[in-house]
Amino acid sequence: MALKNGEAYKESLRSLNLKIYALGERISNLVDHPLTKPHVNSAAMTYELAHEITTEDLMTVTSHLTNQKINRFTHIHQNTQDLVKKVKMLRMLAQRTGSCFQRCVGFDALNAVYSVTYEMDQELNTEYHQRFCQYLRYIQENDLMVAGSMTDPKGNRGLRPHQQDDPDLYTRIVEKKKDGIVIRGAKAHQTGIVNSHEMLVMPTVALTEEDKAYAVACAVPTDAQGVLHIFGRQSNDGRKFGTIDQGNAEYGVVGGEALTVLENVFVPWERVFMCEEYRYAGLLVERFASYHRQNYGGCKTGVADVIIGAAAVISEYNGVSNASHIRDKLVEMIHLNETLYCCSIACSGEGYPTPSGCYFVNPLLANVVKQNVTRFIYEICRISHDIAGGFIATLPSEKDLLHPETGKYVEKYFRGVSSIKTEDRFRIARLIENMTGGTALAESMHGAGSPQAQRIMILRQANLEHKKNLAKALAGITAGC
Amino acid sequence: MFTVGVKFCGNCNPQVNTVALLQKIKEILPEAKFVSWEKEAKDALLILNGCPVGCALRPDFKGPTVVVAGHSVDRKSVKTDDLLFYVNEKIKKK
Repeated sequence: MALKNGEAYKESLRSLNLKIYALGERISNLVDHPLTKPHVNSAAMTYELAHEITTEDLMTVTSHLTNQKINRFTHIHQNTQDLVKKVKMLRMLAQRTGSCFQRCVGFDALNAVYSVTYEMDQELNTEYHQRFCQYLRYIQENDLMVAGSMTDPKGNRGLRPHQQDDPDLYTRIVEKKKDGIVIRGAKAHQTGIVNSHEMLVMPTVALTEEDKAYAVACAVPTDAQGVLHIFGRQSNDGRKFGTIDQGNAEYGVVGGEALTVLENVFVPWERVFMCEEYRYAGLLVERFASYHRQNYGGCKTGVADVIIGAAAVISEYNGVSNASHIRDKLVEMIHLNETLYCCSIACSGEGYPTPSGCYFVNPLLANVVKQNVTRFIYEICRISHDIAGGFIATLPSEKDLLHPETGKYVEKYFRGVSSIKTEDRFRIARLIENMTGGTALAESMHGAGSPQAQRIMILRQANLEHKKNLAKALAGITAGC
Repeated sequence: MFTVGVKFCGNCNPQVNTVALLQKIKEILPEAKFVSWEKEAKDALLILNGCPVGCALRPDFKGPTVVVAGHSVDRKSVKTDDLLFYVNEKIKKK
């Protein structure tokens, strides 16, 4: 039955047998463990809001495969309206969670693999697309969460995959068997993978013939034999064992990333969607990256909606909300945020169909979205610090607030406007602190690719020659036109 | 008693609070029963969009339909304080 709710999603995770390690220990109950619980809660919202009357229009859609109502996160975009609604859904979800809900990575992987396998089959007479459609139907009918597994550890960035001293630094095919393949390597920075049902493995760079063993796309259950997850630390993760100091105790900060090791993992042929076809690796990377960069003017604007709201609240609690410079700074935050949203809506509205019928975003504009995110979110966070004041960095802990001896002093000397409880001022300050620093900021920089990756794509697609000819024509220069 | 199916847009960037608006409509229209738009049996459909884009899908429904999109009711611009009045009038007329 499609369309799980949040509780059914959590129950489905309990039945998995993932091998997860964090802080040197194995996590046996990821749904309730303090390190992973907020990320599970956040992903659960992608299920729960599909059932809420105010949000189901964004969260659900009709499957083009089965004609059944499905969760949008398992959908293949059929038109530009689907691309636009994806952005709106991400913004709405981020407003509810104030954090990453992780499921977009697999969503983008599904669309990228769907479109590229179609083109592979057309040109190579293979059957990857047919296989993939069977897999997609399984995902849709069971409403599963898929982790998009692209990023390899990469080792020496100056060397191709086959040139690395350690061949496992890019995930590769180590054996082809009658009934499937065996893969080895690892995937890094895997958002939401420890609370996903499946991982969709893809190559991480364009490949040459010498690299063909690295041209592999396939689906692997996250608890398959040979799969091991090492959960990443976040700044302030020691606070996950408390409540107020976390800022956003329910949903945490960013996605909960892990290094996923693939130690000779067997994948049956029906789950293999690329096997040594190295010429298509670059296309798959480009499709996935563009879809994923589209997202950031959706989810990050939703997160920033919360930051802007928190900055406005703290200005009230500090008694300065009517100061003209505060209002001007809030306007600047909104302006930056809506600019990001404009970019995501634009790259969606300018989307177009691929040969498979699956719609693709305008890749130039999608890369501009993400490039802006690497700057504007930092600026929004900087202004929030300016408005909030230095006490967000020097507050005592919640234990001191609640301590019988120190509590009365913390209560007295951290009070702002007298009508507001100190604890409320404390809470909103912690929310700002946790949402605007450390891991949250770095994620805005490097999630969906580092800034230089976008700049390469922007230059490749911007047609500089056309712009030069425009200038020469107006200047009356005929040479070279 | 008549039944009104309700559909929301999703409220990603709302200019009006459509959840609060529906609550007020319920209070001034006690003779109406408000249900999910997916219920088969309904006399009218009320589509509540938080902004003028109005992106909520239009269900296949042949009966009377009222569309709120930000500060407009069936494309007529209205002030925030008047939204409730106009929606109420429209539903009653239908």
